[in-house]
Amino acid sequence: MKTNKDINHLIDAAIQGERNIISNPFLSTRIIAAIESKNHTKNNRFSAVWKIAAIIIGFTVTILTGIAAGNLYNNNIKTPDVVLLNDATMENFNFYAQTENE
Amino acid sequence: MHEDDLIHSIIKGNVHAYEILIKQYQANVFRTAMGFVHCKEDAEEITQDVFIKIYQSLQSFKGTSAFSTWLYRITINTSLNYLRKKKSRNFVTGLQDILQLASKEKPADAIISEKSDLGIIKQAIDSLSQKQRLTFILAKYEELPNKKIALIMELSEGAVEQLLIRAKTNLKKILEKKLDWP
Repeated sequence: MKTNKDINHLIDAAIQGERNIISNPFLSTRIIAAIESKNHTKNNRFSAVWKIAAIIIGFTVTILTGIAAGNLYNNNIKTPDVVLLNDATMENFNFYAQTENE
Repeated sequence: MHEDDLIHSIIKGNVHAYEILIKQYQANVFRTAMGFVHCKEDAEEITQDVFIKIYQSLQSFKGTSAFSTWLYRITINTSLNYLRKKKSRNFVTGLQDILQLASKEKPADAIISEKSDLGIIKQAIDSLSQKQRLTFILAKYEELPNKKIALIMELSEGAVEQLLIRAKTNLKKILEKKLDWP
């Protein structure tokens, strides 16, 4: 016949069995890695915002530079259409052509 | 390094100091978690969760109670939350099985472990009321004195003693029925 003592013994044995189970020796390393990866994800989220901001700023600067360059070109066109030049004293181009045939 | 210095060092961002703290308390957290879940993998998951939570909320630790008391409270809450989540997960899985008309039979190893004396004892511990169960786990798995248990559970020492006596009596009653002992 089994007694209360046996039940107590059985309970103690069951608990002792579980107490003897040892956790993974690398658990602390795993925990530190998990903490660091969480911190890294936080930093990455921050840098991702900066990446998007940098892209938007880049596009804006490129567009504004394009517009500014376009405006500069239009300003240059405003020079007079006809240029009056007195070329009477300029050297005759035929002279160079002749010397080339010598 | 003294525990307070260690905590200050961790708050300043010293991860190496935290690894020292983890190694110091890892076994205690793991054993307590084992008392709740009776499964190595689950207990390791709880241990990991506990130490991540502690790292994130270490700045809120004011030092009014001992660090170990605070640690045990977090371990108990995390373990209970884990069990709640697991229960709801099992409920959903059970519903899926019914909907898919899958076999209702449990795996053979699960039946064996449930029917063995060890399985029955674990079930009996789990069936205790929450306070009795907490007291029993802290007293038996962690072998903590009643004074420490009282601090963790915010009860009087007398109340802890009563809970422990009731837990043992109930456990015996349950086991006498389940183990078919005269």
